[in-house]
Amino acid sequence: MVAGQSDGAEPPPHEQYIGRSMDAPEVFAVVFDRHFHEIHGYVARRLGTSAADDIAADTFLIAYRKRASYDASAGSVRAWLYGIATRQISRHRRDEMRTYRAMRRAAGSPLAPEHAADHTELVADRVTALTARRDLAAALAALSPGDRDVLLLVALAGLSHAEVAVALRIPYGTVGSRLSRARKKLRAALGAHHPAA
Amino acid sequence: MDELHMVRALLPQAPPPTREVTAAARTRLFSGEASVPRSERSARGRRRAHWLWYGLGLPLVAGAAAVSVLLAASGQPASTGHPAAGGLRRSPATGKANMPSAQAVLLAAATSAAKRTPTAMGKYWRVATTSMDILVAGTKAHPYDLAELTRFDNAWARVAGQPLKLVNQYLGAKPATSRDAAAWRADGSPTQGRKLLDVRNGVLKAISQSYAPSAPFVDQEPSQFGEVAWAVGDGSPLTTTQLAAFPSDPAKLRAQMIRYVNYDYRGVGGPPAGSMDENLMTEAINLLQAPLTPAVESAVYQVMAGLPGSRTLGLMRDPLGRGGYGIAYAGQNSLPQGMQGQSVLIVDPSSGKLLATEVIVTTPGTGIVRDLPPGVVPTPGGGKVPGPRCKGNPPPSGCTVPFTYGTHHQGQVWSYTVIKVAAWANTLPPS
Repeated sequence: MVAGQSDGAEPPPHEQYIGRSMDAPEVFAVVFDRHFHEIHGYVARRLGTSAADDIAADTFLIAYRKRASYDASAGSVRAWLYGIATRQISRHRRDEMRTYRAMRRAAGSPLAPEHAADHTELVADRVTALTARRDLAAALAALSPGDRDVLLLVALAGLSHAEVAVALRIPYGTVGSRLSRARKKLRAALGAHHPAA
Repeated sequence: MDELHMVRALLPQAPPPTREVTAAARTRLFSGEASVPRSERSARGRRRAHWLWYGLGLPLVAGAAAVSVLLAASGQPASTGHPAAGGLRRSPATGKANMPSAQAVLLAAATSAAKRTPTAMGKYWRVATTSMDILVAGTKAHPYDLAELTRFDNAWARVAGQPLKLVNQYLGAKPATSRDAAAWRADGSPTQGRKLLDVRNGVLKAISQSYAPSAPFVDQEPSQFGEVAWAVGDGSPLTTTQLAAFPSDPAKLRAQMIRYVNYDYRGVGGPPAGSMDENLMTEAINLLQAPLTPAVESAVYQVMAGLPGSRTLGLMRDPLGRGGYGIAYAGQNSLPQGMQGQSVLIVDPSSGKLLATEVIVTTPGTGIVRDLPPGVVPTPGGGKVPGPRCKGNPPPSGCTVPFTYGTHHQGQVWSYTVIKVAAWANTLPPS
């Protein structure tokens, strides 16, 4: 654990705030202010805004509680927070699957006349796009939870392989193999819709 | 644009949290409440409500006498027929005096499971279920509930590298009850409805959803681990070798289940949502759909019997019309805003088989719209579909979205999952 000492006017590196917050809880507020929106945004993309309101708040509560176990030498606060958020998301796997199912179902439905009328020029494109959406949602739902976590941390959160390894506490090499497996499955599912096809 | 871009497009950025949400989270972090995550607190709140509803003061008859009463009675449930999905199937059955406790029912199931002759393993462990979810539809003048059915037929290959097959299919939506059917007819017997898509992402789309069945979605691929089940808590794949090593001593099995629930990416995550007891029940229900030895299956029921907060609802028929005992248990369930429900499992103590799980409405709500982005006005009874004007993230204020009421009532079955098959098979199921 980094002690978080800083000298003079130089602001302490962000990671050191966590260490200091053990003694000065209000310092954790800095961590909250810097990362709450980002973590909320990530959870919202996977589970919706309403679920994100609770899960993001819980993520920071848990981080606050577990701040003693944060190891600054192992990686960034951001990756650590994403790890906690991912664990919370995994408790809602059923809701996530339901969302993918709804996307598949919705994308597979014919366009309503009134809907088409609003977007006449877009209809043809949308039919193609909707089919791709359906296939993609199905493929995402079919990924193993571990593969999906890696894929979405990379695609949505923009974490590096090293950060994903820290977040999920898995070996660096596993990140790469999970990601390539997940991408391969998505590409296969997209088939003709894949831009590269 | 590669597949990662397509994933980003499929799951677009959501509007930022409101100032209120951010402020509340920040305040909670440093207040005395901080030690209890919201999910745990609300779960306790829901449980209290259930106790009020189910607090009928049923006399409990425990022990061997109750078990024999129950084994004798479980073959002939008093409720008749199988009403449509949304109907109420609770039945007073044996009468209050003979109502066995939830513990007695589960221990009877444990006894029956232990006596079962183990079956030979096949190539595939097949689990076929059908799930029902209520879809709120109609207009303010004619509100009704549709029951949406989805089937799952999964054949897990026992040996890694062998092909497994996962099938799921949307079976369509039908009026949930005869009353809903009347309202549906009064609404012009629509075969499709408008449904808001991705409200959660802030960009509203009201698309048409067909109430007709869709083609099955089939995933057939080589099995990665030779898994025949998955642990709920940590999502671990469970192979037959692992399952065979499960302890048949209830205390040891419980300890193992707690380890699954508590597994948190090696210390990174936090405590599970909901209480440990709730999570153990979820894990138990999951394990009962896995190929367990008779002794381990018996132990799972004994672990369930030791969990607090369960009550007997009496003899019930499951959605397939099979008879069993309904047991209300402390579990988490997600219902629309303003509504509360009770988790229920239906078990046949004479065969030791778990038949189904249900969520039954205890507190009916009115509205159904959740997750509306800021600036969007719900329109009761189905309003104007958001047009191009309403594009934007978040959409400009004043955009209206359809809003329906439903006809929820206490005792309504809000959702169910019925286990049709959980057995070894040597052929893959049809699509």
